[in-house]
Amino acid sequence: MRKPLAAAVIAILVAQPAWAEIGRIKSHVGEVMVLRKGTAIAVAPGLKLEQGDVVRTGKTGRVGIAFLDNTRMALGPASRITLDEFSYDRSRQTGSFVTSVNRGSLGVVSGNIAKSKRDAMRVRTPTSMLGVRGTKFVVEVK
Amino acid sequence: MTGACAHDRVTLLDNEDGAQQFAVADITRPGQERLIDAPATELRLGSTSKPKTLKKLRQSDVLLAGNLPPKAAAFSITFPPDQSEIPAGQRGILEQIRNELSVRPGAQIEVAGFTDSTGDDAMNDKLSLDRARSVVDQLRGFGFPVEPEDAVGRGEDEAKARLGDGVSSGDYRKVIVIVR
Repeated sequence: MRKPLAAAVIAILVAQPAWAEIGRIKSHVGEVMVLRKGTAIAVAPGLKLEQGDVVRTGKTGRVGIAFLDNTRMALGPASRITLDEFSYDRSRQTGSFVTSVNRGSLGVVSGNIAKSKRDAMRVRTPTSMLGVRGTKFVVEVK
Repeated sequence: MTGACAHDRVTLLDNEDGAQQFAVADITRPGQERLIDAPATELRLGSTSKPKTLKKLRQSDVLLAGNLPPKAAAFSITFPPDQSEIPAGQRGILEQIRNELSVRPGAQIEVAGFTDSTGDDAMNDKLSLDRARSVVDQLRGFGFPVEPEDAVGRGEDEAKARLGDGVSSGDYRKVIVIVR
């Protein structure tokens, strides 16, 4: 019983606070919305994103996002992604990153997390789980 | 295959700056991984079909890639041994950083300090963080907000991994500033 307890304690010590910045909105056009715990937040360049945020675009919306591990994303029109998990040790440049593409199109250039360990960066779609090993790709969910 | 997800896909675009790792794998089914590892190749998701090579990239994908934020810019400031004050000769780089910040709306910044591998680990951890904080102070002086967690001390790990322990090297007495 000791090992799981020790692991849990370490996880608590290492985990970053849930409200920590994971990246920022860099550019946007058209209708773009960030949903945080069910509340809509107005989007502007420099808006800090957090783990759990949902980013949504309307029919003419587009948005560019840069993350702390140098991952970059672009979300196309009529799209919705959820930033499910982002844990990153900025000193060691390692971590774990899971994004769900709920609908629409997502362009990605992967960063340090994807380099740190095989499949440390994953993209989830309604049917599949993708392991990202680099570098530039598009996921589309109809 | 019927239903809304029949045409979900992942498409690998061109490589980015000679990145070493260049692939995406469908890892939905353990032991039945499907991999794409060449530009303009595509996997249909929610299926077991083989990867497909495209004659050319879709226009919509090219457009989407054009909306990606620019790559982060990196600047290096070097320091004399055991010092964390920014040398006068390096101040021009601070101006370059200031210019970069001015053309990147909503910029996020990371300031990472390093040391060479002389001296002990704990001292170098502190020295590297002190170097990072000197640079952060300057950037705040420009009126740019920098969060305390944006300053990182990486100590001597990188120098030790490349050169071994106890080696004096100007290449590692530095602060790297990344502007996203």
